[in-house]
Amino acid sequence: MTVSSEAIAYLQQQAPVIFLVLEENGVVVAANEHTKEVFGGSPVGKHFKDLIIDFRHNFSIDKINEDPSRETLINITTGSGLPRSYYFTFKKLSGHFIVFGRIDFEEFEKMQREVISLNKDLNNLTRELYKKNALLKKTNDDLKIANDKIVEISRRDPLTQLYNRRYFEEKKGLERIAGIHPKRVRTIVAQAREMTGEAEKGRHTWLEEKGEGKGRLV
Amino acid sequence: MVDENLYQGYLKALLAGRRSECHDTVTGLLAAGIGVKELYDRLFQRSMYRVGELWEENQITVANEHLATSITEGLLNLVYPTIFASERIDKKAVISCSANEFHQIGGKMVADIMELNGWDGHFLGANTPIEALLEYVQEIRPDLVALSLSILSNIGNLTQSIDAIKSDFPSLDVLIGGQAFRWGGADVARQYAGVELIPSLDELENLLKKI
Repeated sequence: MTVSSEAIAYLQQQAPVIFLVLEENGVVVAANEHTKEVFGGSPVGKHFKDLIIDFRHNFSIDKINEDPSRETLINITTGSGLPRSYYFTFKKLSGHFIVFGRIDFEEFEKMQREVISLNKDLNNLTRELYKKNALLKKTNDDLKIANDKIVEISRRDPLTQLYNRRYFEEKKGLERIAGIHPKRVRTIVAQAREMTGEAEKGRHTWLEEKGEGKGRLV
Repeated sequence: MVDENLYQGYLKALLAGRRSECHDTVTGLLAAGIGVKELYDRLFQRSMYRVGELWEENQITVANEHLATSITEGLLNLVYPTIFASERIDKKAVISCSANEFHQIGGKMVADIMELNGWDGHFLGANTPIEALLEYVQEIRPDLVALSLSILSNIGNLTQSIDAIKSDFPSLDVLIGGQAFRWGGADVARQYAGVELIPSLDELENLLKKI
């Protein structure tokens, strides 16, 4: 079968792959339409290494694998600024490098499926979390009702259901606190803090004496 | 509350992947006091059925469909505080997609409507293997099982699941439903005793109120 040069040119231009022709020194001399779209403009005149991401400067035109059956993974920066991974093949013909770059759509689709699956799992876990939270809230509400009931029971005489001594003592205590001048309350709190501090200090000293508090602040 | 204008605007944003616009629409409706079922029925289900149709007609890509699904699933989270706060009635259901069925959003909406009606809806997710479904049913001992089908060509997997359930738990009621049944498959329910096709969320709710 003979294919016209016109058909070949059409294939070159329209194929949805990166198609480049490089000089032996790596400078691009021809690119198809898809390549221009990928890079956001014509790469003609640029060096191939300037089109790719090569932080460690590993790429060298002299070290190119010329076997077209072997693909090399190379990341590039697209015209939109986003990096993209391509599999490149290189073939030396008549003093030029013929370069093809393709995206692995199967790999892409596999990753997409994984992301979708993870997203579903995340959404399902979120749903479970809401459900468990609602259950927890209900348990807490029930617990509060039960607690209130216990407090109420503890304040009443089981036989007469009248308020017991405990209730009146609690009430009296609360009324006494309510009646204290705020300045007096602050003094009581300060005294209590001082006493607690003394107690803490005493405890630490005691531990140190027993050899249990080594290295602790005394 | 979901008028045609609002729906069309939401659908457009959903197809374009404008997540925050969809989010604003839903939060607006929730703030205005929309009922969960109305939201599910008139907005989520209607738009996702339309997305499915557009995909079947090759008018949108698989990626578009996945994006729309992902956005919708994320929006369901907004409704959960309402759904799970409803009064419990001590009834349990296991809701699952059959094996090889990767579209879970319909099943999830069924589980949510059950929760809204006080049921404990155990949702197993997409592509649940039959053995895993049976094990879960054995463990939970639900009052019913609901199976969701989105793609009619997966109906063989659905019938296999029904056969397995009916073999191990003959008296357990099974509900089936999903977008697939818009195109056929209604005769499946007639082949079994205790299997009912539920064509809409309205009918699901009516049925739950009778149980």
